Formats: sequence, C-alpha cells, structure tokens
Amino acid sequence: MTRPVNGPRDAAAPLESCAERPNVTVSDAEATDLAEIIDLDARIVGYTRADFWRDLFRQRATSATLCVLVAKSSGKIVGYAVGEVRSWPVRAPICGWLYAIGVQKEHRQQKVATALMTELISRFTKNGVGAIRTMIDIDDHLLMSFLRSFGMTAGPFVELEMRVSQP
Amino acid sequence: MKLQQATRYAIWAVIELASRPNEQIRAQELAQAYQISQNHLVRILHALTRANIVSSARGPGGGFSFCGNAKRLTLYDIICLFETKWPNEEGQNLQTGNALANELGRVLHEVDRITSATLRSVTVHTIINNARRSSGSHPLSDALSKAS
Repeated sequence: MTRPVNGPRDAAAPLESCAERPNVTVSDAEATDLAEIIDLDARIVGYTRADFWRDLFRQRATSATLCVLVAKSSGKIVGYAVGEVRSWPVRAPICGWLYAIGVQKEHRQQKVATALMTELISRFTKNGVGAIRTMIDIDDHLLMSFLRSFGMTAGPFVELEMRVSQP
Repeated sequence: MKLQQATRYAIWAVIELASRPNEQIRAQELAQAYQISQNHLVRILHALTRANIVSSARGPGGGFSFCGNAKRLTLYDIICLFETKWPNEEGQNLQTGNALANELGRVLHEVDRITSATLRSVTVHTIINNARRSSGSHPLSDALSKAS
C-alpha cells in the first residue's frame, strides 16, 4: 500500500527542523492539488496512478479520518503522505494505516518525509489511535528502513497472496 | 536465525561504539561489558577496522571508535562481513527437479527473503534509537514528543 520513497533514513527528527525551513510546509492537500500530486507520484513510482488518487480525493469527502497531506516548497508540491484511521477485518483494534508516502527526488535527505510522517502520526493520535500499520514492498529496504527509524517493526500479521486464473 | 559467535560480538561492538560517539573505548572495557573473550574481540575489532566501520588509536587514551555511518550501516552489512555462508541459499540448493524438494526450497527461500529484508532495513542508528525508546515512553508519543 505504501509506495517507494527514498526518504531520509534517520530517526524521527524534530519537526521544527522542517518548520524552520521557511519554504517547506505540510498541510492537507486541496482539490486543486490533485493534478500536481498525480504528476509527482508518477515521477516517484515510475508510472501514473491517476485513478488511485482520484478515488482517494473522492473518499476523503466522506471520510473524517482519511488524510492526504502534501509538503510544499515555494508553492510546489514536493512530497505527499496518505493515511487513514480504519478498522480491519481481523481481530485487531482500530489503527492508523499509512497508505503512501513519497518525496520528490531533489528534495530527499531534507527531512520532508519525516515532517510528513510526523504530521500523520499526530493526526492519528488525535483520533485515539494506538498503533500504525502499513504494507510495503519487501525489497524496498530504504523505505522500510525509514519507517523502522520511527520505531515501526514487524507486526502480528503476514501478507499472503496467490495467483488465480481468469475465467 | 543462528549467527556465529564472531558475528554476534561484531554487532554488539559496533552498536556499543556507535552509541558512544567521540569516545575511544578500549577492547578490555568492551569485553568486560559483554563478558566475552578480549582476544577474540580484538580480532573482530580489527576486521571491523579493515572494513572502515571502526577506527583504532594507539597509546594512552587510545582505543576503538565507530567511524561508519550509523544511519546507513545495517545489520545485514555487519553480518555479511562475518558469515561467509550467509545467506546460505538453502532454498536454492534444494532445487533438484523433484517437485517436493522444489516446494520445500521455495518455502525456505521465502524465509530467507523475509530475514534478508529485515536485516537490510535495520540500521545501527535505529537499533540505538529503539533501545532508547523502549526504555522510555510509548513509541507514538515518543515520536511526537521529539517533534514538539
């Protein structure tokens, strides 16, 4: 669910390190940001997922806990993070799900991802969440390392899948 | 996961040295702290020195210090220095053409892949930070308190 980002691998750094940057701000994405996010996302992951983002923006209208955050530098979007507080069909308390986090290549190693993640954690905790989960590519060691630097570890669930033939 | 004694000592030494930056720590002190053989530890520290993870200084006040990048150095990097047969690719060795052996090999490969991904994503810095967190408050509130 979370997509690749070569964000900083250091530990949860103070948000003020980003807040001190006058040209980097983290806020909720606005409807007018959609096209720019789709374009940035395509550059980060290497393919376009316009439907995914349009669906997210639509769902956000009816979900009180779905967050689409953007990091802006000089008015341009340089990073995003998406998360939601939701239940899960297995026996587990409601938790915060990190769906996606990404930072433009030129703005990595500047704690942009840290600022996005920190803001998302803040939103989750305000909603009474006691845990955060995500699913990432097993070979995306850099993103895994970044999330581990926040204290994330392997959880009690394992993702399983199988191929099925088309009818 | 079973690691050789030398590998475990190397991980301990690296983490201990990295958690005390700007300090020269004598092998004797490290050996006593972890209750391990000093001679064995010195050989390991020299191997870490050759790998540019640790540096050594002679004379009074000398000792070993961490000189790598704690935010980049992973457990996998350290383990690969000392475990010559790791990853052991045991799963691939079972690919004999026999369907049962192939399936067993696939399962073992699955285990290796998860182990590898875990070790490649845990940095020395994360180990140190998580240890500090675990002795303190809840991770979420800790992360937020760092941000405030």
